[in-house]
Amino acid sequence: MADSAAFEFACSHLESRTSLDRLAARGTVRIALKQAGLEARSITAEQMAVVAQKILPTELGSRGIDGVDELCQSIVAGLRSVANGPVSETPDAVFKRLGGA
Amino acid sequence: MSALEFLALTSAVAFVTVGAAVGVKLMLLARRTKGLPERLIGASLLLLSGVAWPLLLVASGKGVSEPVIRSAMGAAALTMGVGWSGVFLFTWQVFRPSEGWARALALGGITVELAAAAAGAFRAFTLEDAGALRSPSVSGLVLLLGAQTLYVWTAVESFRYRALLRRRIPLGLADPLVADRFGKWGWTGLFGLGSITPAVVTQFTGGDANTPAHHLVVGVCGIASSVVLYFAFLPPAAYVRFVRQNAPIPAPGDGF
Repeated sequence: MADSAAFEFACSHLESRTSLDRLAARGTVRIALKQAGLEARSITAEQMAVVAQKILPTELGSRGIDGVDELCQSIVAGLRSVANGPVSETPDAVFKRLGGA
Repeated sequence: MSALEFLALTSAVAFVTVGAAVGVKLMLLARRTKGLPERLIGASLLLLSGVAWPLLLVASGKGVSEPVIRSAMGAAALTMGVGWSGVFLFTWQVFRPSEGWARALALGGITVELAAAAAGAFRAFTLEDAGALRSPSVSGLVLLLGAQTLYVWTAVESFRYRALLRRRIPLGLADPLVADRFGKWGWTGLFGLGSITPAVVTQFTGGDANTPAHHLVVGVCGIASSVVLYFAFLPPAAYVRFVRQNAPIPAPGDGF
């Protein structure tokens, strides 16, 4: 299954603005997603923004990337224009509804 | 009636009551939302706990006439086959709707369950000695092994998803109550697995199904299964508060 538009955007952004190559950029974002309990194929732009603010800075810092805060803020700003596209209903959306009265 | 037989009977009554209540609740929800998952799991719970189990209890009663035993056993087999097929569909559609192996597992499981159920119903009406209906059979063994596969799959998927959501909670990306519901559904699967394991052992060994050990396992797993099912889908307000109050607090500064 293809990865989501939000994931692709964050990876491309890192690749173009840092010394990380494609593989390293995608690997770094995947590690951040794993820590957040999210999956590349289904992550939304809103979720990616939270990861970019709360987890990605530490991951990038540990790889010696400079200007991490500005970089992550630019990812968050760019994600505003990323459409989530058609996604199937997630398991958590179903289980949230199953608890409804 | 021994204490262990009473425990097993209590667990059966608890499972019938809670399962049917949750089934009705989810069917009513499905009527409003038109959602497939709630329709599938609501109907399955209603069939398994509200129809199949009572039929099995009727068939195992003392002094029951032969036509009633045959009808109850046949209908129970069909109901269980359809009910477990619905749970196969639910697990596939909710957790892995676009993955080939999940589709193969679900459709294979449904085929096996429906075939075993049809064979069980045929046996119920054609076996010469109705008293032998409670003895082990290939159709009964296959039906139960299919259900065990389903319970393991459901538990693995639910616990995996609970683990994902627990990592999202501190980020403010998941509801602690929903994460808890995945865990409870996983435990429902595991206790369901435990409650039918004595029947599988009996089917394999041809031994006595009415041993104290069997009653103990069925009783404990049946009651535990009912409790977790209740807290998953009919949680009291106090339990909801407890789960939310004990969840990690999301850090500030999230989203756009």
